[in-house]
Amino acid sequence: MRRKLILLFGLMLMIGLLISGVALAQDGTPPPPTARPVTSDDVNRIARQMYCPICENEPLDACRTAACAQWRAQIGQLLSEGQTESQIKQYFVERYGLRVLAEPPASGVTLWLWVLPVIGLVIGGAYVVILMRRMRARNTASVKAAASAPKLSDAGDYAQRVERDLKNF
Amino acid sequence: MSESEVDETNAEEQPARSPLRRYLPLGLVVAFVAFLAWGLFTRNETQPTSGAAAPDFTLALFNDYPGNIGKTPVSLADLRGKVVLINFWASWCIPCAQEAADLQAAYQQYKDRGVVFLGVDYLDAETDARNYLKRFNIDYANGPDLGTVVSGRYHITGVPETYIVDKAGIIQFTKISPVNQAELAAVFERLLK
Amino acid sequence: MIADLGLIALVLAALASIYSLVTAAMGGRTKRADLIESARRAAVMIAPLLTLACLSIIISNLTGDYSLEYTYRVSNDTTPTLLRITALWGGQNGSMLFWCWLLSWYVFFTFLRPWKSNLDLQPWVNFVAIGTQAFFILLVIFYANPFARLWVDAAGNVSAAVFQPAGLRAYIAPDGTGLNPLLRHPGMIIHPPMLYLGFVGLTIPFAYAIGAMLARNKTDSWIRASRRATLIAWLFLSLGLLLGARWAYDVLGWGGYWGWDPVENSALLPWLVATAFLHSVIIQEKRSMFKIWNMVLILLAFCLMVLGTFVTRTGVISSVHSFARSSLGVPFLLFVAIVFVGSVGLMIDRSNLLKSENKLDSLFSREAAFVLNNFVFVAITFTVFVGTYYSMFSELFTGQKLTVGPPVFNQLLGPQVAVLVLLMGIGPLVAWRKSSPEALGRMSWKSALLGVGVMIALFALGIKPFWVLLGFGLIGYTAGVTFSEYWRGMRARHKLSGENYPTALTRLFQRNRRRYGGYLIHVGVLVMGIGVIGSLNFQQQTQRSMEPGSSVTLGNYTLTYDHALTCDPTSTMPPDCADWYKDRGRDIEVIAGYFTVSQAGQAPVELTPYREVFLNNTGELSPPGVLTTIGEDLYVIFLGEQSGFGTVKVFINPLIQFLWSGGIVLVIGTIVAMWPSAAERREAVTMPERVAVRGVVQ
Repeated sequence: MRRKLILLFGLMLMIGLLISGVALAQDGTPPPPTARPVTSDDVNRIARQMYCPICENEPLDACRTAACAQWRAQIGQLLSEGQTESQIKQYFVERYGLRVLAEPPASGVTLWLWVLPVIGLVIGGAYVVILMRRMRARNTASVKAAASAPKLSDAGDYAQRVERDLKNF
Repeated sequence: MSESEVDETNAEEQPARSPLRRYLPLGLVVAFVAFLAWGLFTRNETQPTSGAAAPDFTLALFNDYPGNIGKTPVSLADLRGKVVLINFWASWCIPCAQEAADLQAAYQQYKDRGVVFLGVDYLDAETDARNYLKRFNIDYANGPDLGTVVSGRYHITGVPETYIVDKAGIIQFTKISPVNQAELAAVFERLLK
Repeated sequence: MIADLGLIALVLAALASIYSLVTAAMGGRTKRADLIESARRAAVMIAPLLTLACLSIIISNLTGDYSLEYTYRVSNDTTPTLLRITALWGGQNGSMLFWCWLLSWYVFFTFLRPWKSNLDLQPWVNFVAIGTQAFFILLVIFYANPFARLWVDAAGNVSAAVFQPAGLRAYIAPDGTGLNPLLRHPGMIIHPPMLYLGFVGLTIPFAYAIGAMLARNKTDSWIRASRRATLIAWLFLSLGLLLGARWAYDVLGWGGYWGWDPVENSALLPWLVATAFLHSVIIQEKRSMFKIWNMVLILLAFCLMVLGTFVTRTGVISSVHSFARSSLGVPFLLFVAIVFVGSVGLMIDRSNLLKSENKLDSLFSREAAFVLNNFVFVAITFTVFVGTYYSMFSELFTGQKLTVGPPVFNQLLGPQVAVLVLLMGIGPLVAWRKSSPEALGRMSWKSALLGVGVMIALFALGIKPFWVLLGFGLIGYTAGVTFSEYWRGMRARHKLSGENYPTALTRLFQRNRRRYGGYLIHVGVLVMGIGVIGSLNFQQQTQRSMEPGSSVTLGNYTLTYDHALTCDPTSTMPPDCADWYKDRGRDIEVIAGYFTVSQAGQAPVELTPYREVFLNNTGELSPPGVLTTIGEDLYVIFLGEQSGFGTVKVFINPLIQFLWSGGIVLVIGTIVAMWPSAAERREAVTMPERVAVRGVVQ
């Protein structure tokens, strides 16, 4: 029973981790400082999280094309107007679609991107648990019959195990 | 070890699987291959060529660039009965600047003879786009290609690209490099006959 | 002339592969030894023939035979000799031929000698391997022929075709267009062959798996051979991935090494599945369990490889790496369909062969640990798969294009990888059949303490993010377990035989290369993990426009801008440019920035990051200037100069050296694990006959 619990616990932990990972990601980011002039670093901080369709698969801050340079200038412009990071992203999403974001939001069409792996994990995990329990149930009788596994308490036993393993290879 | 073999008699008696469970993986795989085929064929769709019906679209125009259309948003279907030039451009595009003056000149020449010009601004920042339009004194209808929907429908491979659609909505001219006034005039004369 | 010879060799290779395919199928059906032998001989002929074909392309490149379209495209008069040779895989058509050639050598070594074991399998493995080979050769001949020549019509339009089209004259271009500048970097020269070797290498295990089902073979004996073949492919895949990451870091100039680009992902997917297989195959060998599952993994690895190749070669998913859209699409899709549907269909049809007695003595056993390990690997594979193909799905169902960038993958995969690392630290301690939490606790409490110690120490040093602490803690724990495995093995041998410790360690490796080589791979992965966590979480960067003489400070470094040098080969260049054009094509513009880095108490170092702008508008590279120390890289990219101001992007990439050195350890570990031990070599001679006899009886 305890083993089952451990197994279940492990699985829950894993799923919990995954979900909390997703949840953590949704945390807001601090608004850019507005008191000082906008620097390239301020622009890059936002551009890093965006993609310009001219350079597919290359983040906006790294892309060298004229179109992307213009986008970065636009980000600088919007920043100097005092817009926040999320407002700026929204500005680009409205004009060019969700493809500009490196991290699509977990809502609407893109919800499944986040949910599918979790569903896969849950279904797969449940299947593995059922399978392992069934495989064990199949064997309960023979376990009782068989001698219990050797205890590996000290180096002497381990040495035997090393030798035994070696012979098996 | 490796040659130990599981006797069939020894193997556990499994209940006969239902056909659904048996063939579900096959169905999934077939569906996936069909999906790939779809992906391949849409990817390999090419630009509409002369003689093909022009893909329809709706474009919201820039505020002060109604051109000779006079309404926004405008859809291509609304313009049936007119000759329509569709020009994909962007302010960051160097070859676009080569053709800008020719396009505007051709527009001046034909705007009162039933020809509509429609500039589709591709992946551009609005401020830069407006500066570009001012710089070349362009006053024909222009609008941003929001979400790259229009350019997607025409499968453009870059800017500039120009399409001319006749009164019946059929594409009669395409060019994927800068155009000049003379070649545009020749096409318009033919289509306005 | 030479090219004609190559074309003939290519066609002969195609004929040989078709002959071998047909004969192998007939031999397999009728069990006629002469047919089987004939199929094998035909299969072995392909490699030398394709070698001729490849050589003739290389010779065309070397002699500058611009009547050949391929040579025209990938070479020109100023291309250095080495690049003319490597241009063999510098273009779509040549790289397809190169792909065939690599596959043919796998086939060659698999069938070099008549098999002594698994005789019933031989014709069917031959059939599948050669089927794949034949497909790729035919693809080269009909859709991507590097032997196509240039022809010109009366109007002066040049086109390419293998045979003279009616009304066209032969055409010899005065000079070629030259190799894509992106592919001239040494990293890009060796990275694709490694990746290709990994990809095509997966054909052999696949052929074993399908062959075993076609032959209705119920034994496990083929799994050993397919394990080694998988390990070879895995080694090259790992090398290809590592070199690709290194190349991106050294040349692309965005401060990173892995962008979760669809092409990178499609190489990672088969690697992940192959890794899962290499673990779960151990259970089948030891306990004869999970036959179906192992079959699924082998087939899946190959399918994902074919899928990745299809997707990248035909532009179904766009990527910075993608080859030009091509006519390969439809035939390739057909092949994908045959492989996918055929694999699954065959498995369903032959599922009775794959029944195995899957018993678990305990949920706390090595077997169970392997099951969990496989579960996590498959979960990771699924996540990467969804991330890679999601944009295609969303475009189909909503018309919405999407980008799935690194943040998505990092968040979804982070926890899964953490669980995997934990399992890496538990698995080796859990005994086969049955163990207990108490035993695990006894064996690993010191390591657990080490892990917790690492976490506390890092926290005390001011590292706060929970995930980072957890990651380093897990690495500490698992490293503790792995090293104590070595230690325990050494001490056991020392006590048993009185060997001194170094000898004991050597013997340990000799006696069980697979296990201790495997642990070495684990160590490599852990070391790489340090680099990944460091570079993901502690990268610093800044961008500045600077006047000559001014400085920027990042971390402990002060970077002073000296001057810029612009070399445009199409006009007169400053004398300093001569250095840059010693072995660089004149179709590349170089813009270099000269910088000095100073650190407190250290001699200043000069860095010269530069941009290579390709004058044919195909793009550019930004090789960084890098100052490497054990702890971190100072990584400087020069963005260009405008009105006296040089723009520079400066990164500090912490712990990144761990990534590369861990990669080297991983490769060494793989080679150790792969090397046949003396015992295995003996076995390879004796075991077969027993199996062979039974093979005939069946």
